[in-house]
Amino acid sequence: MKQRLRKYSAILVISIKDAINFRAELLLWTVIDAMPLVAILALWLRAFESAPDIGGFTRATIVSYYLVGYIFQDMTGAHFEETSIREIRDGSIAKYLLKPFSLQIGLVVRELGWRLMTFLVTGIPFMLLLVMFAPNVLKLPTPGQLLILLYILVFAYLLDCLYSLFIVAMGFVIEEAESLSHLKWMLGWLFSGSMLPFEMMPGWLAKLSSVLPFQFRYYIPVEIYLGKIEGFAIVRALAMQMIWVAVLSSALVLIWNRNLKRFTAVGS
Amino acid sequence: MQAMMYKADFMIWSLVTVGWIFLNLLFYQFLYLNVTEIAGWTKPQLLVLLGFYFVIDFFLWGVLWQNMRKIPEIINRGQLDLVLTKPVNTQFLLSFKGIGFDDIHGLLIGLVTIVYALSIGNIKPSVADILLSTAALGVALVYIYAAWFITVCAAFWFDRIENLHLLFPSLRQIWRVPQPFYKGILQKILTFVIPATLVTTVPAQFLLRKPSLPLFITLIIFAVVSLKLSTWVLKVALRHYSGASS
Repeated sequence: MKQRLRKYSAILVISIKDAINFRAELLLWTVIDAMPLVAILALWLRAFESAPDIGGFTRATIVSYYLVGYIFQDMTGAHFEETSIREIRDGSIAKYLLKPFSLQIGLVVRELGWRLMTFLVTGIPFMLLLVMFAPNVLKLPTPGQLLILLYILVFAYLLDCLYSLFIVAMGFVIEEAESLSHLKWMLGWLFSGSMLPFEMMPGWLAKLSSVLPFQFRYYIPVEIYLGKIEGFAIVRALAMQMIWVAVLSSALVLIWNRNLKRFTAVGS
Repeated sequence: MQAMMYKADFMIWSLVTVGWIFLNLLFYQFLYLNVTEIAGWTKPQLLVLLGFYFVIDFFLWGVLWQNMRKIPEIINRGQLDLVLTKPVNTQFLLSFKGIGFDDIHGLLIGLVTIVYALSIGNIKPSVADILLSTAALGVALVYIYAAWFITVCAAFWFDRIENLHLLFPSLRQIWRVPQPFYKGILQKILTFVIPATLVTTVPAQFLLRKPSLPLFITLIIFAVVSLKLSTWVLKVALRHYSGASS
């Protein structure tokens, strides 16, 4: 166990060093990721000029919803699938498969380094600026909320890694697995609450979204932060998240092992 | 030709394009279930703008993307030497060597969205409006091309930023929303510093019969200046470039 931890912590340290090395790229990603936020906030601020209440949201709460959602989404995203698929295609992934550690866990840990650096370099300064200059928009969560949020976000990150690992697993058997990343983003946008809060969706879509796992990266943590989900509803959400993690992990093990058997690579 | 050769790729990426278009349409559909108008823009009016957004997306991903993403790679790997020795204008070769048609659906759906939105909104543009709108779209495309080319040219100086080519197209999120939606200093920046909001708003305004001549002129100025600047930037960058190939 100790030896395992040492291996993965070495991967984590390497990825943090990588992220520091590529800090300009990291900052640029933050700018790129923030563009939709600028547009959506402009749109909603205008929409609230003619209606003080839309779907139970006020001007202030909708701004908080998208700002906090942006931070949570940035912290919990996994983006390793495209690189891994390229490595599968050119065969260079073989070097990782031969190493004495699990490739899946290695990918999750490697991505974690980048997420931590993203949070340190952009998330924290962004939050501090908001707390200092717009205290009505972003309030500090209570210690209880903070603990629950941390728990949900860790598993939300794990869920996003699982979707990415499914795509990598498909990369062993199909050529254009990169296109599946778009499927992941599309489903995430539609069902996570980042397109619209569930309260503003048509009933059927809100119901469907509330049973799918995409909500744990955006809607659920944001609503907990806003105090709209409390008590037993939180317990139910946590239980549902655990069930999704268990189901998807089991399915991944099956698909990964089956597809990996069909992978061949030649050369160095 | 390439799309015909790799039929499975073409099919998969076509589905991706159509999927994103569908989601964008869905977003505005749901949004307008909650509001009747935003800053004076009704649903059909916003759909006209979204139609232009789809058309521009075809130009971004179908025409320019394959070339723009390769420029930093060509520079960093020293493969530019090969391009420079060819008897064709370097900027032209770098910008339009490969053109894909995976996103052709975007162009078609964009045009259909515009026609559909005009009909449900009972908006009847004149021939002059249509011509002016097409001209404005052309100017917008020139600006987009030139501004994107300038940003990827930064790879001559910053060789380790792999996502540089994604910076400009990320602005498409900004032009998915009409220019009047932005307020204050942000509106001024997105109109007179980086006129991203104008690329869909100006062509849409002509069709919606509420044109803004100052905004159209601003877009023309930016397109012309950016185009000239892109040529100049490449010239300066090539002086800086020392080659790295074997």
